[in-house]
Amino acid sequence: MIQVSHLVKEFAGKKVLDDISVLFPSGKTTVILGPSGSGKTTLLRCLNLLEMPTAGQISFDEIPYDFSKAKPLSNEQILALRRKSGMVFQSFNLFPHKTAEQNVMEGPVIVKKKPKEQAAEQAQALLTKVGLSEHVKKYPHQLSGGQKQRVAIARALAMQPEVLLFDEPTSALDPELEFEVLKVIQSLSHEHNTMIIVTHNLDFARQIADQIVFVAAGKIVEIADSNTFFNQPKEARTQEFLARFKQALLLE
Amino acid sequence: MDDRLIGILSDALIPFAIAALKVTIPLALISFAIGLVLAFFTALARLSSKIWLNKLAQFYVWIIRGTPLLVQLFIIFYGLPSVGITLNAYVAATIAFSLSVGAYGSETIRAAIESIPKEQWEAGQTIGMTYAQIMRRIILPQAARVSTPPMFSSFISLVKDTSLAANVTVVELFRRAQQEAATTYEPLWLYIEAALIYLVICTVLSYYQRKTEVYFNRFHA
Ligand SMILES: Nc1ncnc2c1ncn2[C@@H]1O[C@H](COP(=O)(O)OP(=O)(O)OP(=O)(O)O)[C@@H](O)[C@H]1O
Ligand SMILES: [Mg+2]
Repeated sequence: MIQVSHLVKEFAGKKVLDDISVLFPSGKTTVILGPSGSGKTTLLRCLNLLEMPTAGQISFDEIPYDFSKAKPLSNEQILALRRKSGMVFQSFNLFPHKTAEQNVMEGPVIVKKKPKEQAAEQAQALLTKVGLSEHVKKYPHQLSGGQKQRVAIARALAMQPEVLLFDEPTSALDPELEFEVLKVIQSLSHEHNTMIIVTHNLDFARQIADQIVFVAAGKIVEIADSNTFFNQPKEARTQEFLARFKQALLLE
Repeated sequence: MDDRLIGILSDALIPFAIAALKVTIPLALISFAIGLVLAFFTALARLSSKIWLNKLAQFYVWIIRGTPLLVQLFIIFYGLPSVGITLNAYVAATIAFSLSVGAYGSETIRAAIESIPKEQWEAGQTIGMTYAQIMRRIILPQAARVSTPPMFSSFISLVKDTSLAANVTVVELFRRAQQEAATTYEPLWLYIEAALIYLVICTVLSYYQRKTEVYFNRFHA
């Protein structure tokens, strides 16, 4: 369970996240929706401290990390917090000089000091799980976008994080490759991993989300279960967002 | 070309080859190895957030790049004895060349490290790696690929620059050629012969550059 309380993030004095409080329940999939520039990516990046929050608190399973204090977090605290989450980026960010297998093994071997054979076995199993058993020895440049993203998912899973963060995991993919990645993410959701997903794909959001968090202009507008969110949104801002989406569908 | 000239040139070949093998090449290799280490740590200092480290590295690069190598060599070999530091000519040359490679190389390495996208750092951070782990395992291997061509260029320049050591009594290839030319009065052909030996060494280095590039390109389309 991840509890975010009164989180604020400023860039050069500009509030990008403004008093965000939200609970991400264990074993559930939360989808974050919102217009472009609303702060979705920044919120995800605050959860693993790729961005350091300006104020507020993040608790992982009751262990609080407070960012309002004058004293910044120690390096050890930052690493400890980071190791609780795994992240999948829009642009994959695989290590280009390492094979698929080596990408997946890197964390377990270097960070967790797992014996190599054991890490290799685990990598093999994870790559099989994401449908890449044929490609373990390939370098990223030899893989398609969809395959790269699945390696990235396996790499994140290898650290057995408490929560998986996805930032628009399929936005860089062609529609035909999108499906294979969404399928993997869906199966992870069915296995009750704790996941937080930022996406612009509302169909996917509707299918996968246990909870939807709608943000606009750095603030949380509405938190609801998927059904309520899409069928009976409470807030005018949400209704407007969904209406615009339906219009876009008609255009296609 | 008459028989006398051919005799002079072939007689010179062995001493030239010995000078190249015993002095020029070791001088270049050792200076480059030391210079590379120096370049690496200077680059790290330049990237460090510690201001004094950064300034120190900047100062070093500024001095070395802003003054002629030959003058530096003279300061070290002919100048330092007057403050009580007398160095063997080989040692003086090695110091001067290493400092030079260190300064120029540090800029190459720094640029190569900075050219690796910040997403690579972030990917490492998200799997919990420390700064040192990311630097060593993710950034440097990729930076090595980027810096291969410019570092080989430095190495090749260095091989030729070792001829400057002739000015501080080091009997390397060029000094040997000067000696030969002085006794035989055939400077044109003897200096061409020496030049060809430099050319051979540099050609071998170019060959290794290509091999290194192929090695690094295995992970690059
Ligand atoms: N490093 C940064 N420095 C300054 N401003 C930033 C930085 N990162 C993000 N911002 C600003 O913060 C705001 C929120 O950005 P963010 O990337 O979180 O939005 P987003 O909801 O993910 O948008 P999108 O849907 O387009 O990905 C934007 O106005 C953006 O310009
Ligand atoms: Mg974003």
